[in-house]
Parts: sequence; C-alpha cells; structure tokens
Amino acid sequence: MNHSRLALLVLCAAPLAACSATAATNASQALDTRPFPRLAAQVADGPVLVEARYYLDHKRTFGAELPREARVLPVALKLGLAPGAAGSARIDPDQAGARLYLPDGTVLASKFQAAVWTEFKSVNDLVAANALQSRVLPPWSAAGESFVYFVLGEAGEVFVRRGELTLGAGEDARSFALADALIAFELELDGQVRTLFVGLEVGNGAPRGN
Amino acid sequence: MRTLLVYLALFSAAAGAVGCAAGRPVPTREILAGELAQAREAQQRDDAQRALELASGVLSNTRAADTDSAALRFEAAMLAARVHLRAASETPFLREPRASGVPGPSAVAHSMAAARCFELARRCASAAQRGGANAVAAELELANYAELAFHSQLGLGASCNAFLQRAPGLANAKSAAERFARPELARQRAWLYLALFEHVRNRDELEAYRFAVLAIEESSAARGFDVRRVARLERWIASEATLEFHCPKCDLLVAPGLRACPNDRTPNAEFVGRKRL
Ligand SMILES: [Zn+2]
Repeated sequence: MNHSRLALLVLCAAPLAACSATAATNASQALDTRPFPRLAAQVADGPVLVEARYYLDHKRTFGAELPREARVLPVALKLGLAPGAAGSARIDPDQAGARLYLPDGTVLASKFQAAVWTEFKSVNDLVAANALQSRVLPPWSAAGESFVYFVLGEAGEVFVRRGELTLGAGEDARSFALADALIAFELELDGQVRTLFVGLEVGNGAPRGN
Repeated sequence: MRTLLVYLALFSAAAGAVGCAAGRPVPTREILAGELAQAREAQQRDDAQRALELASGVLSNTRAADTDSAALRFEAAMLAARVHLRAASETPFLREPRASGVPGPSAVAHSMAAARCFELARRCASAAQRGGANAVAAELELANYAELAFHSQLGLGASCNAFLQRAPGLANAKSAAERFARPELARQRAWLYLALFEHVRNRDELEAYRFAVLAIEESSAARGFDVRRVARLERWIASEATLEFHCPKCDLLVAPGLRACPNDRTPNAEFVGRKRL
C-alpha cells in the first residue's frame, strides 16, 4: 500500500533523472529506494510465538476510545508456545516492562491495568477483564489475545488518530504510523529472562480467542 | 502505581520533521550547507547530540521533493542515521522505561531513530543524486544492511526474509562478505550473517554453514550477540544440519569452536559438506 505507492513514485522519478544532462552519469546508477520491510508483527523466538495488534475499532471491545478517555493505547498481544515446542514460558505483566518504541526513538511505557481509569465503570471493568494476566504460556492453538496499555501522557502531548500517532503540536508536531512502532517485553523461558520484540499490526476486528 | 513515563527523544525532529519549513523564513542553501558542515565536525568530535541538533535543522528546512536542497537533506539524514547507529552500539543516550521503574539507556531507541532517518534519506535519494550528492547508491546499500542487522538483532525473521528475498545477491557467502566489508558494519556483521543463515538454512545447508561460521567469527564485535546465540549456531553445525562439514585437505570433521582446521589451518568457512552418516 504505502510501500507500493512510494515504489511507484520512484519509478516515475526515474525518467526525470534520465532527462538531466548534467547528472546523466550519476542518474544512470540504479537506486534502490524501496522502504525496508516493516517490523514483523508475528515473531517466533525459539519456542515462543507472539503477535501484536492495535485495533482501530477497539471501542467495540472497551466501550470507549481509550486514547481519549484514559490516555492509553491498548495493544493486543497473543502469546503461546509453538506446536511441538519443548520448554516452559511464563509472563508476568508486573515484570514484563512492556514498552513501545516509536520511529523517532521516543519510548512509551506500559501501565498496570488497575491504573487505567476512565469515568465509566463498565469501561474500567472491561479494561481489567481484557488485560494481560500473569500466566504460563499455553500452546499457540489455545492462546487468545489480551491487552497491554501504553501510556500516552497528558492530553496534548501525544495524540492518536486512526492508525497514526502524533507527538507535540503545531509546527513541531511529528506523526508516525503505528504500524512502524515496535513493542518489547520480558518473559521467562525455562527460568531465564528473555526480551521479545514484535512489530505492530494495525487493523479492524474483534480480539481473537478471548 | 507506576509513574507516567513518556520519553521524548532528544532532537527527535532529526527523524520526524516533515514539512516544517512552511510558515518560517527558510535559510539559504549556503546557510544549510554550513550547518551540515558543522554537523559533520560535531560528528567527528563525537558530539552526537550537537550533530543531531544541526542535522535536524537541515531536515526541518528542506523538503524531499526539492531538488535544489535534496542533496543536503539526504546527507543530513544519513549523518543523523550514522550518529544514532554509533550511539546504539557504543554509548546510547536515549532512554527507555524499565520494569524496575528506573529508566535506562536504549540502544533500540537509537536503532529505531536510525531506521527513520534512513527512510527520510530514501525518500529524497533520487532528487539528491540529480542534485549531485555523492555515493547515493552506496549509502542506500548501507541503510538496507543496517536495517537488516537491526531486524535480525530483534529476532524479526519475517521482515529479514522479506528483505532478503529481494536481495538475491546476498545469498552467496562470498559476495555477502564483500558487501559487508565496509567498516561501518563491523558491529553489525554477525547479525547480518545470522539473518542470512536463517534465510537459507532449510534450502542450502552448505551456504547456511558458511553464514553460521562467519556469524560466529564476527560475534565478539556485535553488541548483544551472546554465547547462547553462538552455542545455537555451533549446535546446528555439529549435530542439527543434515550435512556434516569436513576439511577439504585432511577430511577432519569441523570443530565449530575453532576457527580453522588444527592440522593445516584451512579456515572453517572453506570446509565442504557431505551427507551425515
Ligand atoms: Zn585439515
């Protein structure tokens, strides 16, 4: 989509380059200006499989737009063990230190679900019910999604609209596609702490297997 | 309750400025060229934050589509990317939250920022080349390899493979080694070879073996390439591959913990494969 549009622009730009007499030699050198592939949103790290997703229509799950009502970004994680994998893995949200890296190097921390608060009790209940819990990872076929909540700071600091996140305001505002963000967290695999990284898929739909 | 933690990257406009020139007086090309020269000087004296601040100024006052300033913009973006890459592998100054509650230095944040700068460079590369920028193709190649190393370090196999599928020239260990020879990639090479190992291991075990050997050889220079990863590669060579690897001169079975045959010093990478019995 975005990538193919850019590739098209590059293709269109090539004949222009060829027209420039002064830069003909340089321009004849083929340039690979295709964007690097996006950070993978599904990852296998040894026996552990993980997927991360931001639901544009998460209001269907929580009854509210959480970036606006609670200043958090809800991200669904699906975690499980690969078919036939040996080993035991465990995640504890208190120890996971989940964080979200934006393309400019800004890092957002996560928040315990108990600290996510809106003025609507029903929303707060759904936030708690859908939050990632401390648990041993199930087989992938039995894994469902649960949510981690990333802190957006005070209103005006970070703004989320559809699949885009904007930092700051006015001339200095910087916007990034959430699909270009990266998530990291720690879990325990066979008694050792491991850091897992995963890109973020952005789309519509209902959380799977919940 | 956990404190609200939002870490705004220092001088992050270097990575994110888009269309900031609107509504402000735009410095002349000469002024911007002077700022870029100062950024290079700051980079050379290891003043990373000043270099990023100056590169940010150039990026904020140029546009990707403007051929006149595209060369400056391209060079500023590549300079900022290099500064972030170096910070990632040596002395990160961007911070990230930790489970302990005490923020720590973040190599990953720098690598993300570098990737963003590479993308800004790609977007103006064609115009920059028309505008007389030097070595644009080589710089773009560096950008791709640096990003491949980053994805490999994160364990993002799918995006590594997506890139490698469009770079068939890298699937040969000899040509890959030639392309990765540039000194800027010294700390990334092990990750690059690891990505290539994973990419070919199920369809070309002899080439995968060579990539594994090269990754092990480069591992000591690569930040985060720990003994666990080296042990995994050694285990694959010693017992998991369907081939076994022998010295072409004396037929000795490879010892992955050594770099060469102990009998005749033939480097491990030159060993030949044959079906495991
Ligand atoms: Zn030998």
